[in-house]
Amino acid sequence: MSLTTQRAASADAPDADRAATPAPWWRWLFVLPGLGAALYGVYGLLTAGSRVPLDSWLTWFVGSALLHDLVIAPSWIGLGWLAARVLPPAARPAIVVGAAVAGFLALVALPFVLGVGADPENPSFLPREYGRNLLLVDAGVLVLAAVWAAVATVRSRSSAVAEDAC
Amino acid sequence: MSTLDRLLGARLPSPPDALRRGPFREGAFPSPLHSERRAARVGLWLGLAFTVCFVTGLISHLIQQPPGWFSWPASPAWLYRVTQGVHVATGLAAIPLLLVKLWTVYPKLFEWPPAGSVSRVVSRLSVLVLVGACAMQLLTGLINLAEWYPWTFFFTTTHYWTGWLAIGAVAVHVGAKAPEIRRGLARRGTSGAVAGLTSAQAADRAVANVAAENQSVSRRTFVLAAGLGVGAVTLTTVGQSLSPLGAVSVLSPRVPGVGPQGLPVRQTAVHARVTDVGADYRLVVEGPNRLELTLGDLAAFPQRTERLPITCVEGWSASATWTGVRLGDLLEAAGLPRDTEVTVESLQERGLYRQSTVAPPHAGSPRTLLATRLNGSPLDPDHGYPVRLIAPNRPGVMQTKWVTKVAPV
Repeated sequence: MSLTTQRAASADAPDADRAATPAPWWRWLFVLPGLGAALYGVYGLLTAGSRVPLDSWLTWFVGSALLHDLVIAPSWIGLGWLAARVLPPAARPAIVVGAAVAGFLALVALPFVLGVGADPENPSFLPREYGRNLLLVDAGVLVLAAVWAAVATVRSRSSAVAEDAC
Repeated sequence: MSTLDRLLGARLPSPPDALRRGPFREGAFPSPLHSERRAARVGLWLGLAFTVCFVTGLISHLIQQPPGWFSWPASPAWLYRVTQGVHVATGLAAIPLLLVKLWTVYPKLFEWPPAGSVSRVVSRLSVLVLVGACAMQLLTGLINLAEWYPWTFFFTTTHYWTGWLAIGAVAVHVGAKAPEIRRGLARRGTSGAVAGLTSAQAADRAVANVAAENQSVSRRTFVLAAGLGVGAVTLTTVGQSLSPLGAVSVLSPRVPGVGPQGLPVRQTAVHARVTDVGADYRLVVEGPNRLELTLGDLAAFPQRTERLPITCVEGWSASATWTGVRLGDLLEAAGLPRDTEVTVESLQERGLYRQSTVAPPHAGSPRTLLATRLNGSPLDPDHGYPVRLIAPNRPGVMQTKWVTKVAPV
């Protein structure tokens, strides 16, 4: 085996790519201040005493990540799996965009829809009917997406027919 | 250093391959949009959003708890309205961005082996800190806007310190991923887009890039979903700060113009337990010439009218027309210089915000009033009857309501 082939073989080993990637000099402008800021934050949290009970903080810190990893992301991926089986390819972009927008709006509006913090003494807070508004907006978004999906599907079929005719 | 390298690079035992099921399987996430390029590009927007949130949040913190070197001006009157409105609007816009970003990198959660080396364990734990801090900031920030507190920590303290952790973790992440980010942001087809890759890897990326353009859910679909998501969230909520869009923002927790006397309220008189202000009310101004004023005495001072916004730390804001006595006029009558730093105390007996400090720029501003009227009628109890402070360019929590005492610091 010649030297060059040996080198080529070692470049295929997983750790060799990492060594081959030159780290830009500016990474330290992010890493060092970033470490400083993060440590300052940890110091602040640890010394805040009764204002930041660490059990409650940790619950929300880890819980927020798990809410995404175990609930939101799997739900979305499950919907995508379903869409890939049920929808014709031409309809998928419209439905993906519509479902994403409707989903984002639902997530952001959910605390207002639940209205746990509402105060009967303060009618200026949460003055709208958030459940109804969210339903109307999301219905509008999904109807638009369905129309777009239908038009795209019809167009793709007719262009397929036209190609067949040629 | 080589000892450290050996330690970090040490291979850890892999779990048996029989456990490699479900999302751990090779190719479990087939979309070519789970890519370095998409992660870098959404990450750029998300990083900008977190930077804006951090800077505006820091400004709000410094105004409320100013260190000696910090001074916040009284003019322009709308500045805090903009910074805090931007803080909350950017935080809400970052929710779809974070979800899109996490989607692009979600397959990495199921990498196999789950912990191949010591350095991978360290790296994955640092990603947990990054995701935990960023997700917590956005989630608790959103829930706080709904004035719902399903936790035992004090929100503002926690949000402040976790903000340092989040921006630090973002910066470290940018530095740690610098080669990937540089590739991901480089134009497709240039040498920068494949810098550091072997030719086989570069060829794989090129195939994936073509697939990302041509498959039905394409790169364009991805960008459209992210962009429209951010736009929709912003449009349906930003009217709470950007009054002209008040009617469009059908999901905003506040509506400019809705509230007693056409202005939203954060803390009610009932909640503050200041509902029985009687004829024995006095406004005390401490100074060489101490004043103890009835409402009638206060009305004898020159009355000024100012159009000033009230801006809540929760991001909503609305302009109103306030009438009352200039703070500077009262300080002068009490024998103090007009720009004396003072504390303003409320009749409210408990609560963190029952008193505020008025720094010299605001004390001396001709637009700072002890207001007795709002939009043409006497203050509603929820707006601070009989007297409230209203100063330009300050957070609402520092616009003390039900004022009974002004004293030099």
